[in-house]
Amino acid sequence: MLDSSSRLTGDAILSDGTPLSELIDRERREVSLRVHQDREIFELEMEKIFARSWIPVAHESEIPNPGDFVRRYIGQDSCLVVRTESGAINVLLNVCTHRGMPLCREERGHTRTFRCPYHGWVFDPQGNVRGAPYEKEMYGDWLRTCADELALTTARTASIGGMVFANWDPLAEPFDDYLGDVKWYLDAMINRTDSGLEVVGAPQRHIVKANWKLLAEQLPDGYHTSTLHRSFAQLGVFEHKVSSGINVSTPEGHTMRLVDFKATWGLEGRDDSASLADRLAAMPPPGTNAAMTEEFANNLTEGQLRLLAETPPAVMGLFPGTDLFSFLSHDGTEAGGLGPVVMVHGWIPRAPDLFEMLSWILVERDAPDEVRELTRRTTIRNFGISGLIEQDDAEAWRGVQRSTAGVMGRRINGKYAAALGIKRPEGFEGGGDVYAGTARDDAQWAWWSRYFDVMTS
Amino acid sequence: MDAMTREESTGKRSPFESFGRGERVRPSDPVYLEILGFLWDEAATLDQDDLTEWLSLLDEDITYIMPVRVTRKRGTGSEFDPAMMHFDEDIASLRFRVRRFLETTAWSEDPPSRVRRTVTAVRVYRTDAPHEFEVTNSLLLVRTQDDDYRLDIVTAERRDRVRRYGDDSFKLAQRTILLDQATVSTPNLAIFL
Ligand code: FES
Ligand SMILES: [Fe+2]
Repeated sequence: MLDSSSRLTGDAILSDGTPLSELIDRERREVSLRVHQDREIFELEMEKIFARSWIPVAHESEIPNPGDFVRRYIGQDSCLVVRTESGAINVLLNVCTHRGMPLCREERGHTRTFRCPYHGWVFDPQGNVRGAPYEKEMYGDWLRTCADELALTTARTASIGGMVFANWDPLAEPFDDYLGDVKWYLDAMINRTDSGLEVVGAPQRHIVKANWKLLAEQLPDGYHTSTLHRSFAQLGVFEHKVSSGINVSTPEGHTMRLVDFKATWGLEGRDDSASLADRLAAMPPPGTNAAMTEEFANNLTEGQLRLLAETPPAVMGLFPGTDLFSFLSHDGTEAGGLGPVVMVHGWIPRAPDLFEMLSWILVERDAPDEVRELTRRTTIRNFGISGLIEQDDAEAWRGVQRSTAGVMGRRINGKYAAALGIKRPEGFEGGGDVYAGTARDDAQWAWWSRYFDVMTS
Repeated sequence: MDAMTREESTGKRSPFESFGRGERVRPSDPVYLEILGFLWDEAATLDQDDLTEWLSLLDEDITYIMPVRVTRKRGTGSEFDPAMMHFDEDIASLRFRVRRFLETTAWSEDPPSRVRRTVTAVRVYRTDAPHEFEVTNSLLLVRTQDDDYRLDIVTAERRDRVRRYGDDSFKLAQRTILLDQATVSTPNLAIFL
């Protein structure tokens, strides 16, 4: 039988003779910028990372009813995210096992079965072949006897806060192990209320002219904010001071920037000696209001409540393909108030110099309409394709991609020398490598270390 | 919550309901030509990167939206998401966007993109308000940034509500941008359509 699974293991020797492992200098903490340019490296990433990692594909609220489905991508592979009769969610490779036609080209719909447009094989939402035209004449009972072999490729799935993740690798670590220490933070970020979050609608999708890693590795970079996003300080919206907030990374390559709410947005009137509940109500985390914060204690521990009251996670990157924002920014009104930003990004690497970004906006199911509406609009205006904050990021990534395309440019190393290590604030309960301050290179370095571990193992 | 209730809860009117149902203003009608001239002027103002002048062509109550598009099978409903948008703007948020470009270090448009907008297939309809017209038109937008040889192309149907002031002055009161692409092929929308 043909074996379709990859046998790539160990370090790779690139076609010019360079071992992949030599593109990272662990002593000097540098990475060759060639990693953003090389087609061979890109192909390896698809095999070793995107086909074997937990990748976000949908939010449960996009497919509320049995038979609902959306079509998404994991790496280059098109997949169907389907709600089954039992309410479970399946992720199926959108490639007919007969001869490879996509079963679906629409991106969203409702169906009981998927009928391939080419020869008409029919699959159920579990991925099993249920029949074919002229089945008896053509195949006798082969479709039944070889059902396992003919079933659609199925991914493992898991979810948190309604976000559905999929992983093609049957041997991959369980989702909770994959999350590790970040689960505690992530639950505080998106699992705080009784009813939880839902999407505003389908994600935005757009093309960024850069290697996907320029986004992925940048997520804990608190250093770029004061320069690249300087316009927000100039407009008086917020100012990140590198000394405030907390920077976290984990050995899994997950990273976080926690913001000191009060310092960042100059929010006054919060009494630090008041009870946690009062402090949360006085400054509700993005997407909620004071009344909703009363539910938090049903779902979170005391330590998580303190996290939300003092240094809530603002930017979280999950290795390799997810980031979440929970943030306040200019709401675009004349008065210029602060509005909530709640966004999840996924990405689809399309080529070494191109990735597609997906941007979901999440709102609290039970929040009053005005809170949901303010969250929706503020998020659109600050993040995603037209977002005033992310506009500038897209420009930085395009810039690095172009300037390192040359023979000399790609010989430059990206530098992560600001090794400030671990500095755990007193009494802080979160796990991972924790540093009091938003900017240090250690978290980005943790990302790159993880990347090279995965790529060379 | 399904799409319909979500639409109601955000209070956003669908860009599709009853647009262009009024009496057609024929291309030979002087009003048609004036509106055509307005759309060309507006496009040229943006092409010339005169953002301050562009703001002056917008009315105070403008709604400016670009819904996300999702590929669907024929006959299974609108491809446009009623709530999820690429842009969801009013006059204040558009002014804020322009202010950021003109008054701060906004790297995304400095140096500015060069953009050429071609507006065609203009159809004008009367509405219940005698001074307001619904206008559908096709936009071909071509964007280039610095010396990057790659061109970004964005095409869309625009559904505009144009309001007449006095004899020959118009303002844009509503714009709905219905993209052709489900995946937008430009790295950001730091430009207006
Ligand atoms: S390729 Fe699907 S039925 Fe033949
Ligand atoms: Fe950024």
